[in-house]
Amino acid sequence: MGNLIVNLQLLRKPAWLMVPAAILLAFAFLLPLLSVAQMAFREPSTIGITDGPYTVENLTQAVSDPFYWGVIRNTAVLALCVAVATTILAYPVALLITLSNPRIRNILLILSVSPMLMSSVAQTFGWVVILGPRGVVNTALSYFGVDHTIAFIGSMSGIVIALTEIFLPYAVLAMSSGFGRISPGLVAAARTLGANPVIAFFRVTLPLSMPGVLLSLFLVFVISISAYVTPQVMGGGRVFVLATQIYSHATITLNWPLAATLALLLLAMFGLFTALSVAARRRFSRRGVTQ
Amino acid sequence: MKTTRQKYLAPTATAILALGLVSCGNGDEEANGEGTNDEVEITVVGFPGLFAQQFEELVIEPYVEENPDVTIHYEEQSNSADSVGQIAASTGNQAYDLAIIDKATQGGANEQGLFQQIDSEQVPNIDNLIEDGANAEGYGPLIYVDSLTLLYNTESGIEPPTSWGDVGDSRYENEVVLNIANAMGLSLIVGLAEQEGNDYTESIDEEIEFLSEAADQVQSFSPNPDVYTAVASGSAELGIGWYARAIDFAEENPSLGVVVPEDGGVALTPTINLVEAAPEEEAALDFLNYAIGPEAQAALAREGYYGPVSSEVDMSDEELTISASPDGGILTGGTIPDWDYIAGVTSEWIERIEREVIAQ
Repeated sequence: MGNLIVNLQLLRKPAWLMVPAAILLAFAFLLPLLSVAQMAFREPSTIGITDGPYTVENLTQAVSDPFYWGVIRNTAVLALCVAVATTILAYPVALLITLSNPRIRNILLILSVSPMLMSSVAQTFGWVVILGPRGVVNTALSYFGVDHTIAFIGSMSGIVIALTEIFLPYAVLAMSSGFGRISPGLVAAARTLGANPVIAFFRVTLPLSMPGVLLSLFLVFVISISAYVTPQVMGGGRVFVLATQIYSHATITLNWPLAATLALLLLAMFGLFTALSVAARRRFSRRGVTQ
Repeated sequence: MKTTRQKYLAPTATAILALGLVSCGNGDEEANGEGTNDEVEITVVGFPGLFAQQFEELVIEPYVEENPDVTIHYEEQSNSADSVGQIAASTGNQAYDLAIIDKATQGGANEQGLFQQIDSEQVPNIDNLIEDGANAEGYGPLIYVDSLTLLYNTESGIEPPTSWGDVGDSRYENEVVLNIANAMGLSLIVGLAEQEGNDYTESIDEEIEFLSEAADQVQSFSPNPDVYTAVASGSAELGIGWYARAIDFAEENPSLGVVVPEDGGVALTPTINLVEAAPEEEAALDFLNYAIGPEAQAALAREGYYGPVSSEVDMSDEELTISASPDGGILTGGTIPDWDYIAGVTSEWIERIEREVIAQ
């Protein structure tokens, strides 16, 4: 009983600190989310206003139409590719940051996150200049005798390249914070016990870094599935993902209920991946404890 | 044991944040000038960007100069649906007096009871509108006329396009930019149908098939930053765009060529509407009358190249010829689509464009 009271007292203090953010979230996220949820079950009108009778037709249409399954597949593949690519590229950087002395670590961290100071829109247009039909890459390739233009714009590859660069700092940050259990001492101990650098990495460093890796995969995946500007610009209008379809239905065809339904599907994807990520993290945490 | 500081820190921080948020809200109201009663304030909601800028300079400012007791706020919304959504959200405590929206959106908004019918007793200039300028059911009239047009790069050495069908011509392989999952695409379908003598209210199968074949040579369906810049910069050689915007752009960028096809332009016809329960109805009607009148319409035509909707405009033939006028301008002999019909099939047409043309 005494322990319970102590625990409740501990809970009460941080609970106060959560109040401002909770109020903000309730008004800025929860209420709009409920509004979107009820909108998804309304009949569409020609001008977007959604005060018609309730229906499940939008949901039926979205989940029974092969086109939308293609859009969902595109969204998932894009987010997965970007999450894996950023995590692989950011891993050595995050490891270097973790193993550096505090002064160097801070400098490296600042350098790593500095691209976040630039708008992702500007970064995307930078990639248009680099990867466009008359861009730097295609011009260089033609100089070396490649006689056809590589269509980075209007294809999934261009979007993956641009988003990988844009979200790289997020992966570095996520892994830097998740590499807490890695210590130079442990690697040194493994080497002392006869492990070569490769074995020491795979038997010591990699398992200890898995929580950070999973955090990075999770973070980049969830921000990639909702990315709009880069898929729209780099996709050249040819690559359809959930975010671009939501925008199209909300502002062009004015089918707000279908846009709301697709938004709920996006949320469901987010929920599913969150559950998978939590399960994976638990598994690795247990393995980490056992080892 | 808690110190006094710990005890009060979190509640105080919460209260400060809450007060901050509340005062931010109050700040907005004060900035909007609420609480002052000595002048009339009209709020117009409409299209953003270049049109908003031109409407402010060419219509609002001259009107306010003549009527110094009137203040007009022009609120930009990204499109007609957003404008209608804002008006619908304000029902019961209406914040808007007038709305400039696409004709395709107007019919639905009228059905929802968002706009009022008006007549020539309230707005005398309605009697002076061009043919089809007034709404048959007495709702808001047209505010200007624009047209779909062909764009090409004048420095690329290509032969200027002459027909809507040129977007599928193999001469322009991988040099065409088409932003068509929107009103431009709807207008292009109408233009292609008119060119072939087809009735787009019966079927658009032929037009979709043509665009589907043309899609192979399209460089981008989402040119950046927009179709005008893409063609003028030489990133692409051929595209389609809106006439008034294109001519304005071409004035400073001679590399952009603007051609109205031999088959005729396709008109875009936005409307200006009196909002139901408008807070300043009388003043709004007076401004609406000015906006569709000869002075404002001539200014929009001369400076913005929009087709004037007033038949009383005092313009030279030369000035009229380069505007998007259906009566003496580039739209003469062109097509004025049945936007009320298109409003009912917009979703279906866009869906076909996305699935059968772009995503094939």
